[in-house]
This record gives sequence, structure tokens and C-alpha cells, in this order.
Amino acid sequence: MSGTETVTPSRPAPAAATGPAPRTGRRRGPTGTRAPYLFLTPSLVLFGVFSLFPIVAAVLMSTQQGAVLGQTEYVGGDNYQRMVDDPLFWTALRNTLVFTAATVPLSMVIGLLLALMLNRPMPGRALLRTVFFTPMVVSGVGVGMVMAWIFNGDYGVLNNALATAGLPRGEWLTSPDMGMVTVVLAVLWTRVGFCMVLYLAALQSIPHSLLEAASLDGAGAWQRFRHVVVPQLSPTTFFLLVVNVVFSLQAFDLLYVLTGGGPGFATTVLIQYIYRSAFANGEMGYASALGVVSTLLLITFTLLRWYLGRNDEDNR
Amino acid sequence: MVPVHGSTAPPARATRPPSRTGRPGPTRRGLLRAAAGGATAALLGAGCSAGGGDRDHITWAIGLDPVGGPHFQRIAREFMDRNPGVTIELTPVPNGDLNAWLVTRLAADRAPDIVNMGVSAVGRYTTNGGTVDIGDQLPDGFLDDYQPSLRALVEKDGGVFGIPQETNCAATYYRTDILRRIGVEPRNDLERAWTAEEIREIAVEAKRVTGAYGLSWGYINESSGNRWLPVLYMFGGSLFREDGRTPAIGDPEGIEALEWTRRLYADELIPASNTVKASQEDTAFSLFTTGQVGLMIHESQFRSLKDVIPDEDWSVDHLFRERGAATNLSGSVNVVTRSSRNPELAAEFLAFASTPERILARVRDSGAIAPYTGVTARDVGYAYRPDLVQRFIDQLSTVPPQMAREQAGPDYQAIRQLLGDFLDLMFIGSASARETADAIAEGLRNVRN
Amino acid sequence: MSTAPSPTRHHRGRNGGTWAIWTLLVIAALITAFPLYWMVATSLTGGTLTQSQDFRLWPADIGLDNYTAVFRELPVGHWIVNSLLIATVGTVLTVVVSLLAGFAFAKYRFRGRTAIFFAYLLTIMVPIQVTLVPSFLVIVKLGLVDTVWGVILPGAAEATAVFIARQFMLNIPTELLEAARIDGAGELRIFLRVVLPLSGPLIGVLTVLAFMARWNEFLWPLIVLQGEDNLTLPVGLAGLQGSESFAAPWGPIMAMATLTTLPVLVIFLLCQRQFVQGIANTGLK
Repeated sequence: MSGTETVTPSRPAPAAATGPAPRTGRRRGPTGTRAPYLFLTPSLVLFGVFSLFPIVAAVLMSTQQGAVLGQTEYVGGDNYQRMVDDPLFWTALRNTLVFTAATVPLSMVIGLLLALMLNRPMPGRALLRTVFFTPMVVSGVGVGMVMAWIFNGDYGVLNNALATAGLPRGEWLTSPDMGMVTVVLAVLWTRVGFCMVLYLAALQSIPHSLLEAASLDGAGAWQRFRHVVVPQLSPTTFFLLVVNVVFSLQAFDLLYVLTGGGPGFATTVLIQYIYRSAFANGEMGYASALGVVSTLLLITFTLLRWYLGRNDEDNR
Repeated sequence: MVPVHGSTAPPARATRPPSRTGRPGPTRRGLLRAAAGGATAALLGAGCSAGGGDRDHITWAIGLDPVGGPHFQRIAREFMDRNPGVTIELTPVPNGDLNAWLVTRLAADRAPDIVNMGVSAVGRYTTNGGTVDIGDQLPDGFLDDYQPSLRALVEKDGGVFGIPQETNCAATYYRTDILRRIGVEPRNDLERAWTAEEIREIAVEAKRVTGAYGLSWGYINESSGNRWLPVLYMFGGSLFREDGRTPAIGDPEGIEALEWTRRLYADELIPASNTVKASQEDTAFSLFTTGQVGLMIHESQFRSLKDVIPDEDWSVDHLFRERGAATNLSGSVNVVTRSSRNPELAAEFLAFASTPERILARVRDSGAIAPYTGVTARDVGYAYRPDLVQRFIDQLSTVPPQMAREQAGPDYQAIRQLLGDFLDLMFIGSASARETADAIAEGLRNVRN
Repeated sequence: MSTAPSPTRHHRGRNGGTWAIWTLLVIAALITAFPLYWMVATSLTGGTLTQSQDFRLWPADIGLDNYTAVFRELPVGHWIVNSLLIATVGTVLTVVVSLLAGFAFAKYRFRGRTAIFFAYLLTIMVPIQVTLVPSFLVIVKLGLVDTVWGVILPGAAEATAVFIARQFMLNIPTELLEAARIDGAGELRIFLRVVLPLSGPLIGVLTVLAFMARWNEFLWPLIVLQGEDNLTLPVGLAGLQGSESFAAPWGPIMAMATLTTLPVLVIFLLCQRQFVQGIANTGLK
């Protein structure tokens, strides 16, 4: 489980900046103390009761069939078997992967670009920074509604502007090709700022001596970026990657409000299919199985990323 | 730091103050302060769960719209006045999330005593044991005057699983100015209503006049695909054969109905923003009120037009017809859930709230249609355009019995999803009528077998 | 435009380049700010003017009609109070619980540490949609249904917050703790007297993130809360979308969206300096 250790502190806490921090995580507290358990008790109770128990229950439900209200019967792996032949599952899975593959790298790259550009003195810098990350406070429902309104085909401000400029009205939410693009744009709006803030903080904590040393060695701007900045940002990148993938796989409110999964199946993602299987179709067992698969996807991705990341570090 | 909460404390009996049934508007600011106090009290544990454990407390989940709300609140107050010690609490039904909310609450036996739900949801909950039989608590012949299609929703196996509250169906709205410019007269005769081909021609002309589109359709969200079904039935098609298992949508009539609808989108007589999934609650009405279309297929919902466009600019004719007439069945039903600790009292209150004079008083204000047979708009005394409401009332007689039967079934919600999915695909041009019929038929087979 | 060459900055102070970047940033900022601006602008547009195909960038007829309408038709005041209450209490709980847990994970080695930490992380990976029913059963068994605690307590267990707290605490030099131990301080005292005073930036970050998460929660409060006056703002906002209450719904919807966003936005703007500094110091960077 040393996976959690990969995010090594890149510099000591500010309040006690007295030399490099030791590998503190490996230090042992006083032996035989019950202290850690006492510190953990509140969270153990909360997590155990409100999170872990329901998860175990959901996994059990994934082996059952029947509505939650009526009789349930044990069906073993039938719900999982059914996925294989369910075209809608594959459509939803593909859409989920496309959505994730678009939103995660784009929000991180744009966030990083903004952070790089903001990482220098300029007029109104604080204001710019604030503007970029305010969208993250808006709820998924709120974002969905605001975007549905802006991208509205008939009265949306965007299409009104295009029409005034003599351009054709865009099919933002009505053409299967554009649907996913619009959804991705809406998500980027909420995510980019978060990535930017974290990258900005990371950039500002890169020791200047490192960059200067690289400059003295004759490294150009790109080389400095590639060989000094990027490695220094890797803990942030790891964190953002995992968090963004979780966000993307669980993006529900926004899509639910904005597109309802349409046009056609263009934006039907796994989480929406889960919700609909569970509640509209009353197939809680199947929905739970879908949820388990979605979770396994996430775990696989995290472990894979951690494994690759570890190799990176070993090679350095 | 262990969060200690009374995990074993039983729900306090009758500690909840009589709920505020009539929210007094003028004192809202005072209430804000009271709410802050109440919130603090709630945190301190005074607001322990009511509802479930209290036999004299009835919770009624209902859509609290500005017109209906005051009626519901008054009815609750009247009942409490006559039954000292009984409290009636109103709670909103979550729009669009009824199933997530109700399934979860029923699973934990904590659903409200009475839930108001759309007619398309009733079949599921009466079949899966979510609702209870209240037949014994109702006076003999209580449902005799109700419309047969609504009775079919709540009467099962000799029991009564709910009381219809109101009904609705689709008819044709038209812009008088646009029809005049086209030179078309409304028929105003259910038997001689426009045919599907005629309405298409009018839509083509209307598109020419508006310079935008011809027709809008009352889809409101991804689950509203069943609002297409009248077309299927008026062309002589149906979802299932008589055996109720074999899909019939692939029959020639079904293909014809699908193809007729597909062409409306393909020719941009209906805009792409008005497909099943792209539509929002206001889409069809907004297209109509802003003059982007000349016709609209929608249910009776005059609230969205009154004071938005002048009365003389719009009117209603019966829904078009083809081999036969058809319309969809809409409206809502109040059911007593299995979570009710006192279903007898809940049923008693429900019967009290559903007396004809109370129902009529409310539909009079809201413009909804009473669930009874033989009640005319004049009987109700609608204040706003009663002649137009009457068209919807007449139209209700064309609800296809077979469609109503399907609607009462346990799987109608899944069927609605299915229709929404594949109609949407066809509307956006990704599937032909044949492919759509095949996909829906496949889904129907899966649902039934 | 200050291009004062600073020894700490590695850019070469190329005036033109900086200007170009600045212009780019300003354009990006305008685009980013637009949706929120448009939300407010629409909410101030009266009547049915929202449904117009004319292009305008500001309200045609500024008025508070939409706000008076939503306040008249809906118990918005109650919803604001409920949302504030749930978000505030929930945030305090999350911060306290996460600080304690983060400290334990970062500074102690104990049996089950790895397993417990992974179990916590697992909880953020399972979608709420599949745990909704069992979670609600738990709430019912505990007698928390229809109460604000039913919303607050489950939300207080926030794995991301524990993770962030742990990352931060890893950076606190263990020597400080050892020194305190040598001075005879108990573990709780060490936490309160040594760790907490160093955790200011962490608390700032956790507060902002937890508040936003609690404030914007939708599905769970929708299920748990009952009674028109007892809902939260996002639940009320979602209810508006499918509502027939308003003839031209976009004005009222945007007014409601503005009311839902404004409080959390204000809090965020007030705390943003602490938040940004906190992020820089949490070890997430």
C-alpha cells in the first residue's frame, strides 16, 4: 500500500521550514499506543456506518434480481453476464470513456496553461485568478441549467449571437455530434479553475534554485519546463488525475439536467444508465452490478496510474 | 468527537407541531426568523422523525404549484378542523426524480402516507406492492363516475389502489394569425378533425409563414416519449398484439406512424430542439408563443399561454386523426403507500380530499380536467376559456383502450424510457422508421419476457 | 504593466510576449465569467423577454420580478436557512473528523492502517446512485430520516478530505512531535497544541472544499428531507426545472440558480486567499 506514499512532500511545511522533511510517514508513533485508533474513531464510525456498509450492501445487491420492493432472488453473476449482451451498456461505457478521456486531460492541460501564464506578475493577476476558479463553486444542477440556457438552440444567447453575426445557429444540444462536445465544454468550465489553482500553487513552490541551475546548464525554456517543472508538478498531476477521473465517472447532475443523455444516446454515460436502471426501470440488481463495474474501472485506473508512476520514479 | 446521535431513540410521538398547511405569505420575513429557530431546534434533536411512527399524522406528497397549492392546504386544514388531534403535512413530490425518491423511501418503509403521482407511474407501484388497497375505506360506488381509463389504473384484482385526481390529454393548439394567413379553418369537430396528412400540410404552410418551423410537440424530458403514442394508435397500430407479449410496433401501421413522424423532423417542420430528449418543460410552448411554429400538440396547460400571448392569437382544435382518433392519457392519481402507519386514516382523508366539489373547485382554478365522465366545462365553470377546455374534455373519449391498459401495467415506465430512447434516435436522423420499430420491438420483448 | 525584472521569476520580461499572454488571459477570463454573468443577467430580465431571438448582452428591462416571483411561490427563505445550516455544521464535522483521521494516517504506524486508508478511498469511487437505498436504510435505522442530521452525518465522511489532511500532515516534521513527547505531552495534547496550530492552511482548504460539496449536494438531501419548507436550495432549484409554475421559466430558474450560487460564491471569495495559500501548503501541489 505504499501507493499512498508516492505523493511525497516536495517541500517541508512552511511553518517549520527547517530543512528537508524526513520520510515522516514511515515513522512509528509510540509503540502500543491506542492514540491512532482514538483519532480514527470518529471517521471510522462515519465511514463504516454511512459508506462502507452501504457499499457492501450494494455489492450484495448486484448478485440479486428483482425490484427492491418486491421479492429478490439470488442470481449469482447473471447481472454481470447480462451486461455483455446489453448494447446500451457498451454505448454508455464508450461514452463514459470518451467523456473522461476528453474532460480529464483537457481540464488539466488548460488548467496548467493558465497557471503557467498566471505565474508571473501582471496587472489584475489576482482578479484573473479569481475569475478562473469561481465556476467551481456552482452546483452541478446549477451548471446544467445555466448551460442549457446558454446553449439553448432557439433562445440561447450563443445562437442569438451567431444569428446576429449572420452565422448559422449551432446545434449544440440537438446534433449527436455536438452533444458530447457541448457537455465537455460545460464540464471544462467548472473544472479548469480547480486544476489551475492547484498547478499555480505547485508552480510557485518550485525552488528557484532548480530553475536557475537548469538555466546555467544551458537549458532552454522548453527543456526547463520538460525536465524541471513537469517532474516537480508530478504529485499535483497525480492528485488531479485521480480526482478528475472520479469527477468524470460520477458526473451526474450536470448531464442529467443538460442533455438527459441525448441527443439519441450521444451523452448517455454509465452513471446515468445506472440511475435509470435502478429507478426508472426498477432493476436495482442490474444497476448495482453496473455500479460495481464502474468502481472497478476506477480502481483499475488508479492502480495502473500509481504503478506507472512508481516506475517513473524508480527510473529517475 | 464520536458523533453521538440517538440511534435507538424511537421517533417522538406527536412531538411535531401541527404542520403549517397554509403558508401565510405576508409574514414570510417573520417566518425566516422562525425557520432559523426551528433549524436550531432541529439540530438539537427536537425534529426527530415524524410521519412514519405517528398514527395521527398523515403526510401527503403532492406537487405544490401556485394554483393547486392553496387548495391542498385548505383541504388539509378543513380535515384537521374536523378531526382534532390529526395532522396533515404537505410535502412536495420531487419533479423528475419521483422514482429515486419513492423507491428509496418505500424500501425503507418511510414513504409519505399519500403520494400523488403521474398516471404513467401508478401501474408500477400498484403492482410491486408499494401501494395499499383502500377499497374498504371508500363509500360504495365511489369510483362509479370516474373515467374508465382512469379507473383501470387504480382498480386491480377487486381492490382500489388510489383515487385519480385530475386528467389531461393532447389536442392541437393553433395560432389564429398564422392559420388565417394560410387560409385554413379549424374543424372544431372531433369526428371530422384534420387528418395526419392535413396537419402535415398545414405545418408545411405554417413553416412558410413563420420562416422557422411548422409544429411543436409537447415533449418535456427524456421520459416523455409516450406522448408520441397517439400517432401510433390513430394509424391503427399498437405497441403489443392482443396477447400483450408480442410487439406489434413493427406492423405496417406502426412503420407508417413512425415514418409520418420521422418526416416531420426530417423536413424540419418540428425543430431539432423539440425531440424527446432535447425538450425541456417549456420548449413546445416557447416555440408556440414566440411564433416560431403555427401549431402545437400539447396537453391542456393554459397557464403557459395566459398573459404571455393575447387570447385572440391562439385557440385549440381537436387532435388530428387518421384511421381513427387517439390521444394520450395524462393526469395524476393519489395513492396510499404501504409505508402508511394508518392507511385507514389516510384513505379517509383521501376520500375527503377527493369529493367532487373539492376536485371541481381545484380544476376550476388550475384549468385541469376533472377525472369524471360526463362533466362538461360548463358544469365546472372554468373562468378562463371554458370552450377550449371542453375540446380537451371531448378529446378524452378518444384515449385508445389498449393504450390505457398498457399504461396501467407494471412496466410502463420502462416502456416510456424505451420510446424516448429510440424515438429520439429517429428524430435526430440516426435511424429509419424500420430500424426504430425493430429497436423498440426488441426492447418491448425484453421488458415483457 | 509591471515587467520589473524580478530575480525570482525566470521569464525574460519580453514585453510583447507578456502583453500577448495578458490579452489571452483577459479573453479567457471574459469567456469564463460569462455564464455566471448571463445567469444573473437573465434573472434580472422581466417577463417573457427571456424568450427572444434578439441578441443582447444585458437585460432589456432590468427588474427584480423573477426574484419576487420565486420568493412568492416558493419557501426560498427556508431553503437558504436549511442549506446554510447543513453546509455549516457538515463542514465543521468534516474538518474535525478529517484532521483527526489525517493525523492518525500521517503520523502513526498501526495495524490496519493501509487497509483502512484504502477502504476510505474506496468510498469515493462508488457512485452514490447504487448505495442510495442501503444508505437510506441506515438513516432510517438510526432514526435520522427527515432530519438535517440525516443529511449532515453521512456527508461528514469525506475521503477526499481525509486524503488531503493526510498529505498535509505528512509534511509536519515528526521531530516536533517527538520533542513534545519528550516534554511529556499526551497524544491528544500534541494534536491540539502542535499539529493544529500548524494546520491553518489545511483547515482553510478543507473548509472551502467541504462547504462547496455540502452546499451543492443534490440527490441525497432530495431523498432524506421531507416537507416543503425543509428542502435545500439545489433540491428546490431542480424542482423548478420540471415545474409548470412559471409561464416563461428561464427568468425564475436563473433567479433561483443565482440565489443558489450567490451565498457559496461570497463565502468562496471571502476565503479565497486562505484557500489558495492553503492549497500551496497542503502537499497537493
